Amino acid sequence: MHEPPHWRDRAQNERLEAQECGDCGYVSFPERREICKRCGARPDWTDVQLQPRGTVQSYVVQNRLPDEFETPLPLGVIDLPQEGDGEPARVYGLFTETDPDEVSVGMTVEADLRELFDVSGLPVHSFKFKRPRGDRL
Amino acid sequence: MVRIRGWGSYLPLYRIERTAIADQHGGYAGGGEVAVPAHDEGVVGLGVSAAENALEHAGVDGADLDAVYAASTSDPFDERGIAPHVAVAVDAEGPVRVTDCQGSARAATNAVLAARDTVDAGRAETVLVVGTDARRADAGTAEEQTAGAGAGALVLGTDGDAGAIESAATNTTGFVGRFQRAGESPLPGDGRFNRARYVEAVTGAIATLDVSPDHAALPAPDGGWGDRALSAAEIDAEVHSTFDAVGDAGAASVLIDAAYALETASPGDTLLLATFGPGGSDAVELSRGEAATPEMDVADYLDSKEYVTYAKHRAYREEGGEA
Repeated sequence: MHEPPHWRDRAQNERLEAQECGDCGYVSFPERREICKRCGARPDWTDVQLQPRGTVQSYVVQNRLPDEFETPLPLGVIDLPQEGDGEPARVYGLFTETDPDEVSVGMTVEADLRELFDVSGLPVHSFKFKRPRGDRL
Repeated sequence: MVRIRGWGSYLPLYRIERTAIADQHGGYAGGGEVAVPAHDEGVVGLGVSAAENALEHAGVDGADLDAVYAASTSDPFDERGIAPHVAVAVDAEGPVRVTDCQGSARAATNAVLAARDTVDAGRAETVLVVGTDARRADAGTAEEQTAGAGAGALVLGTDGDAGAIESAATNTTGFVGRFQRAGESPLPGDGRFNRARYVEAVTGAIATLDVSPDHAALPAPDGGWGDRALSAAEIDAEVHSTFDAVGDAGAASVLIDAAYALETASPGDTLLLATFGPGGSDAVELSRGEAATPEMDVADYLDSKEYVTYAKHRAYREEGGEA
């Protein structure tokens, strides 16, 4: 029984779909909640689409991780704007293909669908962040 | 006529020079380099990146797709598929036909022609075709120096100003040549013999088309084969190849090279694509429309790169190849 939790999260994991609180405008990602984490209401939630480019708000560089991770590995808190109006979602995400020395608060990052881990050999894909390819030209 | 609404490509960031591979094992070093998938980058992720670029170029929402075709020679799974996962990731869910074409680098044109026929038959208005590969090759084999990775995609439809599929021909020979058992390293066979069969198969496909293209993309398992086929077919066209920078990316190569050619071509130019793999060859004639090129084109992906060591390239290739 390896699939149920990842199957239910595919819209968030693979398409950056988030939910917006109808009362206060808070954008929840990736959790699909009943009660708004910010205003405590039980609102009507609207599905919103996040953009694949955002801004680093904060980050840490992890140096001691299990063997399957490539270290040093930056982990960032990224603000991803919605398509259209509304607040951005504040998202936690791993980096990939990015030297920790290249990461800074305020930098623009791009989300790419990558293998996050596997369950019994079945890859589970989700977004990781990286320095945009166009910035390397 | 079936139109091209948009195209897109994606190449991994990492590269290794063929001399760096030869230095590890001795022997002959081919010129150029190959693209190496990252440790977390497999055929699904590569395909999704190219698909997103193509959909953006076409101005099409994934939710409006009627069908998704995926072609690959390096799917690590016998049972899972690639097409449905690319489809879902670009928001094409529900009544969306999905088809995986595999078993030969020619699978890319199997997919393109199946997609064309679906649109032509009125069964679909907008379809996505993706070729995605992360070729496997054991350490120390000659194929390690040519095993590339990347993805290319086309959005086809009943309208579109990026281009059109003008004509196509196919030449099924049953010849195998290079082959690869599931999960193992490829066995190349006799290079000269295979190259002669390649030229026969490709010229046989081209011969039934009455074309004098301005541009050509004829990817093959080794460099220079396409030039020989064009010369044998007496076609004088500008050849576009990523072999020296990416390597042989299997079923992805023809769609990457097609994108490269479309990005160089002028409106009104014609392009000849030809594929080859176990089973035979397909030739497809495209025309270039008025649309501008994608935001990130093949040249951008070729230029934005980072070299990795031999050891890292081995680890990345093996881990990425499992995804």
